[in-house]
Amino acid sequence: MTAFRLGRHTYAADARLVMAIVNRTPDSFYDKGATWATDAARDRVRQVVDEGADIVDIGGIKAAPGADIDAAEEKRRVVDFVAWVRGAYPDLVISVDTWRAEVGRAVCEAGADLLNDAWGGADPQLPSVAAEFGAALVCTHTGGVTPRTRPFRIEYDDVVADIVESLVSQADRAVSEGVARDRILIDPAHDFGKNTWHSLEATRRLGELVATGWPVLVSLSNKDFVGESLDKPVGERLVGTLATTAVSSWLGAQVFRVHEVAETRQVLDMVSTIAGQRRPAATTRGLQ
Amino acid sequence: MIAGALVVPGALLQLPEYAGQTDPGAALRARSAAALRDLLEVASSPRRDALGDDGPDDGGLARVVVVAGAERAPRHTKGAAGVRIARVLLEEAAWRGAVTEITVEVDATPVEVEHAAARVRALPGRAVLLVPADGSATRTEKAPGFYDPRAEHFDEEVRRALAEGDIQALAALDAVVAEELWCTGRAAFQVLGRCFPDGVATAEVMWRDDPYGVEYLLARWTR
Repeated sequence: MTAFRLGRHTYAADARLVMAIVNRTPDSFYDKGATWATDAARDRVRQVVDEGADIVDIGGIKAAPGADIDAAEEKRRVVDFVAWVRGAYPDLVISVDTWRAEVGRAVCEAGADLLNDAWGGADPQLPSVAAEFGAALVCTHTGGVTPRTRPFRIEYDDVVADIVESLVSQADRAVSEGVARDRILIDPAHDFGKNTWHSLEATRRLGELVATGWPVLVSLSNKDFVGESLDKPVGERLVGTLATTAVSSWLGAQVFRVHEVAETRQVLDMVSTIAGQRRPAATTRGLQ
Repeated sequence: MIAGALVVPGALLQLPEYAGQTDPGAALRARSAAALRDLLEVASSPRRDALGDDGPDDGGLARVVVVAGAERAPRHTKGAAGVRIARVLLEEAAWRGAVTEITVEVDATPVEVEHAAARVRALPGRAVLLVPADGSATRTEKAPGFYDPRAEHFDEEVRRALAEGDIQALAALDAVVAEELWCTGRAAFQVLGRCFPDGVATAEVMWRDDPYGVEYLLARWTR
């Protein structure tokens, strides 16, 4: 595990952070537009901060295929909202989930701290925008698929080797373009360009990503690989998500992009406590 | 000579290595294997007229020729999915004879299609073609390639061409549209058509479905 910086914060090598998903979309797979209205989105930010989120990840386009959302519409959805969060929560780390450099520039001007390039370098200009604003960057592995497409019969000789090669290459390139070395995270991107077997292997062998020395972010929340593993539909995947969160945390992941913040915070605190990196909240048992 | 052909689904989930506690590909695989077993039995039978074979008795069925689409730049070395699926089906159908595997790029040009077909036609002895190939993968919002309203018409044209043995219609499938509809079977269908330059004696689509928004077909041609 590795120390890193986001916004004005420096995190120690044993940090485990919760990144709360805040969708500015009418149609994302899990919340189905619950925070499409501005007031609802603001309430969501207040709630996740209360529940212990370290980062909010604001997205204006759902990952799944759907109606085309151009850059102008994406900016309409996220830029003013980023500015509001910046004003309301000066210390909160603000991430924006976008693959477009044009949108990245606009949200950095509005105060974003982190660009979550969830489609793995689809726009090669995005790292230079992060560099220009001193922002952080998440590099992701998608197997080279086009943004907003589903995996279709993708196979790898060694999916983890492909992930490591792609992410290290993206991270090195980001450094060469001026992104601070300690402001880069890598994300194997479960389900993106992957079938369930691939995502399970990426989880099982997460230590190989951690060994690269780049801090690892995982986005597991309620995804299909959890649903297919347990035969559970969307809406019944929290237990599987939390189990995967605990395992990933134990293997060294440090940032967890999630829908359910309070539950994730408890899991991560418990893992940190077991690891001896956080003291128990209160201990009286046998000590009276 | 080509005695017959069977088009089967090309979905990776038919490979046992991808099965979980349940095997979602089992039904597809079993249906394809049963149809293959049946065709091989008929084609191997001394009573060739069931397949309309008016050629000389050349000693029975010599080989199965697998015609499968392949990625032009595969990211792995496992081999083309259709070839691997065909191997599983041939094993389940207990075929112990010769197998020739011929791949054609899923985005093949007409020249490449004809090149592959010429290789098939040049093979000696009676042969049956096994063609793992699918229609579009854009039939529903949950489909791998999302919903494309053109998919229905495209797949219907493929289905009709296979049902009627219409080799001109297969040749006329639009490569660009096929790619936009995530159809991985277009080139293999066209190779199939070019392996029957004199037409077919019987053609039948035995089954079709799109449980995942991908058009699966089971079709049989004989001559």
